[in-house]
Amino acid sequence: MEITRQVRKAIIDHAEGELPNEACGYLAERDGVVVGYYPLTNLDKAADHYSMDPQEQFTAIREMRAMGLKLAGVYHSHPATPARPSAEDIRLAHDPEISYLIISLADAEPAVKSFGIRGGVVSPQEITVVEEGESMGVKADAVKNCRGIGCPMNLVHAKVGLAALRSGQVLEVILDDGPPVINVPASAGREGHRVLGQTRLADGAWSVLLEKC
Amino acid sequence: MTDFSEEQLHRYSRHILLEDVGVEGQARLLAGKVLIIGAGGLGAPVALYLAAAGVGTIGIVDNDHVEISNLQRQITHFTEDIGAAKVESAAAKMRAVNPDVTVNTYRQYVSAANIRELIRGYDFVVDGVDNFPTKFLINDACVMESIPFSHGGILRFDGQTMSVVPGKSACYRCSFRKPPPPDAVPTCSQAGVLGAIAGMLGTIQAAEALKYLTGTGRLLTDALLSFDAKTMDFRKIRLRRQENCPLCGSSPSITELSDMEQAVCGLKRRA
Repeated sequence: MEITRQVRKAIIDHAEGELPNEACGYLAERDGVVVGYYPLTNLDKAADHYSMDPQEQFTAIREMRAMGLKLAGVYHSHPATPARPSAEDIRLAHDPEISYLIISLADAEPAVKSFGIRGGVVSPQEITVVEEGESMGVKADAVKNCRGIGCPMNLVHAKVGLAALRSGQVLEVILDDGPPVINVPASAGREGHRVLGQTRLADGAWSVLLEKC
Repeated sequence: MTDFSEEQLHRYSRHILLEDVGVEGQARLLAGKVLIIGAGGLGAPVALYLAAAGVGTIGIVDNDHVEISNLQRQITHFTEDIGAAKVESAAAKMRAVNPDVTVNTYRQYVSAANIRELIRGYDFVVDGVDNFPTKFLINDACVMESIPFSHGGILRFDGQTMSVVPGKSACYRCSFRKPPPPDAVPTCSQAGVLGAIAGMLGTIQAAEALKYLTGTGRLLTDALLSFDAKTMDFRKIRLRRQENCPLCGSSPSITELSDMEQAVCGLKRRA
């Protein structure tokens, strides 16, 4: 499995934030690379098992589709045990097509491991961490940092960035969470630019890759 | 591509956000040059909106000074400006609204002798004059110099406007061969005019200038838009280029400019 450095960092942060309970969520991929994650509520609120909120699962899948992403896998944390599937994890792994990623916080240094689970048989998967730009097979030609810039000036800055590029070139826009990351990619998409993907950064902001039309 | 300052990005953000204008369109506005003929009822809103929009160079022509009877509709002029040259009064407000804009003032009347020289070098001309002979003069000069322009006129509660792209769309003379006889149509000073309709019509002309500079949408060409503010009925009449137009037809009879007789009542010649 290939995963961006940002997503790997973000899911570890999520796991640590949920301590002492298990954290869980979805991983989303584009072209075989995990570029996004969707933290979901652990309804069990327990340190040794989890259940996802079906409503949140539904919403996450819908958002992935809207952005042209695919479900790559499920992640959850083991607050005090190693990063390998428990008997319950194996029993509940119903989809042989996706990856099951486990974040162990048992040691000082968090461990992240991925597994395929088919018919009760667990096969470890190698994890390759890739940088944001390479993750989508593209390197951004320019970056606009719009941290702290609200709507609509963030879109103004994004449009200035795009105007300086040629068709097919890629702009990375860093946007705050909330309305900015909802509005700016949607507006750029309406103007015909392609939203290649977006990833949560370690500081909570989002990196959005826009290909100029 | 123009490099926008942070202040300009804020100032022009509502244009840049528009899909049809954007960064490129705003850059075209800043590089654009528009000449407004007449700093009166129509010229005033045109001047303010074009300056606010960041049209880089705006020329304004008028020989009059501000009178108290102008203030009811000529919104660039304030009470304290009475007695000042209209072009200077207008220019001061344009510079105040947007220091990015270069304003060229021409305190003179337009005439057959100077108009071609005046309009040359501008991308677009706005007719904001109050008399027919000058409207025909602007049409003829713009056709001869191949400069697109917006015709506009207001009287009482009525307004009318059309845009002309010489060589491509109907010119004013395609539909109206010559000015009406002097005194056949009263001037504003005789008939009166509702102040706000100067704004209604002038802002249509300003929008046409901005559309032309940014290459957005479809201009009000081959059509005459008229409205009656008493009923708020708007009407758009289709016009067509006339093969036998004495100015832009295939064998034109008007090949040079001439000054026509002014309405008798318009004792004072207006720019």
